[in-house]
Amino acid sequence: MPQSCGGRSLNTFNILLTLLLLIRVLSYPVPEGKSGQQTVEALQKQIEVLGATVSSNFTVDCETYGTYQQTSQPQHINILHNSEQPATCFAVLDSGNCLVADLQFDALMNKIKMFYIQKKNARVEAKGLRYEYGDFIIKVGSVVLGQSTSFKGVIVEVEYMPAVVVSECFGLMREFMFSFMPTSVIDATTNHWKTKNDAIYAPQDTVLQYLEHFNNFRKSAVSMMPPMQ
Amino acid sequence: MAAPADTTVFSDLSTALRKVQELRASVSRVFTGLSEGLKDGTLKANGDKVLLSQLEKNLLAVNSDFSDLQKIASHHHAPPPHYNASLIVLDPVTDRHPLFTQLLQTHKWANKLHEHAALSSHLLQQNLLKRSHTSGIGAMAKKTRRLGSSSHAIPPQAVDSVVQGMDAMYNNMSITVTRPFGQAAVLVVTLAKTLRAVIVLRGLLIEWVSVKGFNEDVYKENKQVDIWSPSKYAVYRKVSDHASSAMLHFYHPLKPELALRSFMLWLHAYVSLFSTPCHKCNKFLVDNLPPTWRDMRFLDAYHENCRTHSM
Amino acid sequence: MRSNPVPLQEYLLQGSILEEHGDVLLNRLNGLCDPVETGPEKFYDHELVYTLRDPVPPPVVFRVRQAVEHPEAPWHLRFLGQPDVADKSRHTLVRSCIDVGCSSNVADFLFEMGFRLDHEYTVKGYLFRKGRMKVTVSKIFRVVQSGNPEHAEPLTKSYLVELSVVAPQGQDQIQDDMKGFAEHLKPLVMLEKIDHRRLQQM
Repeated sequence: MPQSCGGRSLNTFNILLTLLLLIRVLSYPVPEGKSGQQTVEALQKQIEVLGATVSSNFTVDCETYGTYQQTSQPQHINILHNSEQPATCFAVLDSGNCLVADLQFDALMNKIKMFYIQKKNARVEAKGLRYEYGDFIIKVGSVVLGQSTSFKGVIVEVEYMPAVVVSECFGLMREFMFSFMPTSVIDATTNHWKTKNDAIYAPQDTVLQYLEHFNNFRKSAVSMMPPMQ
Repeated sequence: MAAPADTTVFSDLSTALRKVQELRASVSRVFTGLSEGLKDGTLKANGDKVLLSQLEKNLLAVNSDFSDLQKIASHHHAPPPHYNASLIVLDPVTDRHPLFTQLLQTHKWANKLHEHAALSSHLLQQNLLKRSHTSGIGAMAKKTRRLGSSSHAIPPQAVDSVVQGMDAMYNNMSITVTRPFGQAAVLVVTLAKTLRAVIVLRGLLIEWVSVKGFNEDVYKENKQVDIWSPSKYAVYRKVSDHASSAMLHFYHPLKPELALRSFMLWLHAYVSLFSTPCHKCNKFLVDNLPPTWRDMRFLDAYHENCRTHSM
Repeated sequence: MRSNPVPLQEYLLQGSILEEHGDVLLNRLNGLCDPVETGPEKFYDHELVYTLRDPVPPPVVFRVRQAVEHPEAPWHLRFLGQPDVADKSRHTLVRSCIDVGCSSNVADFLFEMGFRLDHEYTVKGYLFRKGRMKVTVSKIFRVVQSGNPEHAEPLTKSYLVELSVVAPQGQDQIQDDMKGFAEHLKPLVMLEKIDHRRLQQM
């Protein structure tokens, strides 16, 4: 359950732990006086100490389109891309209905710009390093919102590839995450897995969780606005 | 209007044909005259002269026949081109026959035949001198057949019924049987949503086991079971190794059905591969792997390195 | 990471042939097109046409296509632009075209987006390839009972013959290849550039 950590000081960041298969989100208070970048680096160092090797970079980005205000039923479409599936585009509606499509879907959005318009400053992007460690894939990255390139939070994704059902490898994932994030509390699950605990994993499960985190980042960014003005 | 012209053409053609016949007759007369020579050998002195004059007469006849034919042919031209006839090329009748596919098929078969013939001739040439050896192997095969147990010579129906029985026994483990190599059955075992195992049987004896992830494909592109390729995940490669050792552990040529049943019971214990911590160290992960070993008797979960103490 | 795909265009020629002569055409195509060992490829698609009208007048049309006999195959979402027919120098119909493979929930997704089903039909026929060119000989069926592609009746007693290429913008030389190929099918089928807007006015 992501909670914005106060929003009183900019030195506090949310750390979202995204576990594919056993995916949960945590709030993780950063020690006083540490910057977000330092937190990311500390985490990366700990993962490297485990013996994991960097395989590549990763990005997950999200654009949001919305209907014009005069329409009766407001509807949003979130378009997400995940570097893990480079030729795929995920489109998610307010209801959580997720369409998995070719990258060409971006061009289709352009054709309906009379109906759905791209929201300004709503782009969220997570960027960082992708590690491989045996059958695990670990991604640690920072989240950037809108035009600003400032740091909004840390996101961690852990995937245990051999398993396909979340409920089965819950304990295993928890133990694994504990090995490099001993201080974090790992007992909250994202809303996403609450209903799908026994379902077979599919790539959209990852993307939907990213969207859940991104929306929380957006909310916390809005809540942080007033003190800044 | 065209009718009178046509009749003259036809009469011309028939006279021309007749002339051709005459020409052929006169030509053959020349040759028969030459070959037969003089009929009665009396006038030997004048024989040469008579023969020559006869030949001359015959040749003249040929000549006159030929010039007659030429005369007729000269005022008979080639028929004017018939315009509709050129459309015969477009006759769809040829299109109506599936010639192309048949041709393609024939080519393919011819190529295959050629290839196989080349291969087999190559092989035969190599083995030309080893003919005595093959008979030796045959003798050995006979010997082993006599010595070996009969547990592999179980009719497929019996194997099927045993497998069906096991399939019904576990509600979260399904077993399908295919026979891609004739008699030998290949079982694909799907254990809950955890793993898939490919088991090759000879009779009821297990010959080979390979374990893969639930999300990995155990079928090749041609829909055949993929027996050889290893899993891409370290954990299943480890489980495969353990399954091979279990296969040897349970091996019992005199009671093959019992061996197979025990093996399946053992394999079924992997349903908790990711959800059970090690019986000894109580941890999930050691060396980045979950407990991949299952005790043969008690089916408890152990890490590879923890099990030595358990035995 | 975001790449802007090159806009694609579809070059199209269309014609038709009576049912009883279909075999003749199929055999000729078999010979002309790239050889396929198992004979011509068959297809059987269910096509649903969705429009988004509200609130602005020019509707946007999305076509959803699904292979009836291969439910596990990805669904196909397609957008076709208005053809540029004014240009007489072009041998073929040219229109922009976006093809997207997608998951099977596309119909629900479009409905939630505000799209509504306009009409649906099924197409059964054969597919041939010749290099980049695609030739389809197919028959269109009207779906009698909505959502049930099995329940359909044929519209006409002819086959629709289409010769098409999807290529990046500006590759107009492909039209010459298409014209040459269409020439080979004469006089069985006359493949022509057909202005659909004029058909609608009729």
